[in-house]
Amino acid sequence: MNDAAGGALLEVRDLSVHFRVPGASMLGRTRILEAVSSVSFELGRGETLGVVGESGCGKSSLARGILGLVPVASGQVALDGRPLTGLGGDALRQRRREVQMIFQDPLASLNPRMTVGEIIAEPLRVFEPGLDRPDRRGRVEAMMERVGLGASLINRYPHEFSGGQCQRIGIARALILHPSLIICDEPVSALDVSVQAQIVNLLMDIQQELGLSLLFIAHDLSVVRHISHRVMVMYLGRVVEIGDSDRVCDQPLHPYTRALIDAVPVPDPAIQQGAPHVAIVGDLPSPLDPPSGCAFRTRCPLADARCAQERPVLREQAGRVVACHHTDRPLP
Amino acid sequence: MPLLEVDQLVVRFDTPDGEVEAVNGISFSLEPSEVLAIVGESGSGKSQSMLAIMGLLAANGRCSGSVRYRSEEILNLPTAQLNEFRGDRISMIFQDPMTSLNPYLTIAKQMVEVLVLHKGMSEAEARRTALEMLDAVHIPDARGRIDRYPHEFSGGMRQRVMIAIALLCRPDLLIADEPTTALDVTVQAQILELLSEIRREFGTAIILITHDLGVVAGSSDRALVMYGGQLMEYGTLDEIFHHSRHPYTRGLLRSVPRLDQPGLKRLETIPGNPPSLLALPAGCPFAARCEYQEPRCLSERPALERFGESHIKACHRSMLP
Repeated sequence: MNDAAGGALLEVRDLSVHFRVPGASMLGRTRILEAVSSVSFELGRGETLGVVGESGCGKSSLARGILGLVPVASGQVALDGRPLTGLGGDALRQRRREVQMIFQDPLASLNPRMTVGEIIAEPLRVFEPGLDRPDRRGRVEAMMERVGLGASLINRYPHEFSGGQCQRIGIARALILHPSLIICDEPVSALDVSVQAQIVNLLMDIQQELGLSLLFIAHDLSVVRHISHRVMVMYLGRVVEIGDSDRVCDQPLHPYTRALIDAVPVPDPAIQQGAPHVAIVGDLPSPLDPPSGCAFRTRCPLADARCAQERPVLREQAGRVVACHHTDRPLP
Repeated sequence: MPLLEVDQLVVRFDTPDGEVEAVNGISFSLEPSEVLAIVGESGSGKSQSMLAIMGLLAANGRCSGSVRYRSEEILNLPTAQLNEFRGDRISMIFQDPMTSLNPYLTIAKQMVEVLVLHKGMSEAEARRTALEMLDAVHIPDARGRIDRYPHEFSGGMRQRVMIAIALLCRPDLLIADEPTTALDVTVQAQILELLSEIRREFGTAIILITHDLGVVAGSSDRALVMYGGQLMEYGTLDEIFHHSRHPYTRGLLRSVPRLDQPGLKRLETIPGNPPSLLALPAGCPFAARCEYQEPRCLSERPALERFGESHIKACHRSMLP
């Protein structure tokens, strides 16, 4: 982590994202789905924060909330000490160039009718219209080389590339404006194992080289641990644990973090055979009707009456922040 | 006697762009109640080889070679004969349970149909058996849920229902094609546990198709590694994970980040991309990405070489450092 530049790059305070869901019947009442509930965290310069959780935990809505791509119900987001929330029109547009995004499906996030060169140059055309053609082309070619694409491919179309190469195009497009923060939403989960490692390495390299901050969202805890300085674990829209990634992965304090880690199979039969498969039972409750108190209590081996009544707040313990009433009790 | 013997299985597809060489001569055998994992990346031919065995290839697909179930040849059998054992002696489950279940029919209807057709049961008897099977795969309150529709179940529950349907006739062999890939990791753990329970209790042999080496390590006896439609290596888990003799297997194992190891290091990678199945190289399909490449790797397909009891590899290099 590099805090030398002073303070956090990204500050998120009590961010909530709500969606309106039409009622089940025609006359049913519209219900509110709390996709993200009062999430707060900071992201340092040159730091990678991994966000993990299962589907429906709110990790993608969090990313979209930070970027203002979905309406924010409450809370503030500040980049470099200046607010990102509450902006509109040109002010928002100008700030957005500092935050770029990389998506899960590499091919679907590229316009099939544009050449690779046009795709990577588009942010430049929008934000630096003064740049002349040769300069623009030079920047695009240099960026293509940097992400390992080869500038000779500049006139090809996305369908001519493999999944891994498409993700490189997405990374080049995200980097071309020299952003300070990149939000990666499941950037490697659609890729094959051998290609996934190439993209993870590329992201780690460019981060170090450019001093970028990364918000790395993924469901694969092994990849998240590998690339992140700190890890934030979410469950049903709330943060349950956040801290140094080695510490969180080696000695998880929250029962949900522990369950997630126990559920990930390690590629080593000596460890995996005989290891208990099932860490927690049951499915995720509906986010439309979350349990009272602690949202995890319906699947938690430690849950008691207090967990049903009182929602645990995040508090500091053993070098990380965790929301659980029973961190002092050993897990079964 | 082996339960299933596959010999030189080849699968081809005719497409407007040319012939796709999806599977190029794979061979293996499976003992009763054995769990075999077939590992490979997308396009490695792992799913198509299983679909060929089940007689489920798309209309433009052809297959040749030999597949024997209890010494009886079953490859390219006419549909009527296939249906005698398909769903009865061998059944298959898929990645996305929602698209393999009929959304218009209740779970009860879909389960009863199988038993009436294959076992000639009465409706009442079939319903009783279906309920027993739903209990066996741990669907809570099976009695209250059997008359519901697939969309009323969660992803994990749907996969349990699929497994229950596949097991109704007590098959000897269950082929599971990426059964947990669409599921969250905590639910994946539950389904994998269920599969090993099924093997224990019913003695069902399982072929588990997966791209996840962690799943392989936790749930199988042997593994078969495929690349570019060919068998690269086959062996016990110990042979594959700890004594691999194939550069591709080794590269794959090294490039996976592990949750039990601290991060922030560069991952070892396999350079390049998998080959196109429309234009497979003449030699080893992995040669272009292999750090131990020799001239003959580019021109000559390596033959299968056997070590010890069952360890097989397809690589020209006799020794790896």
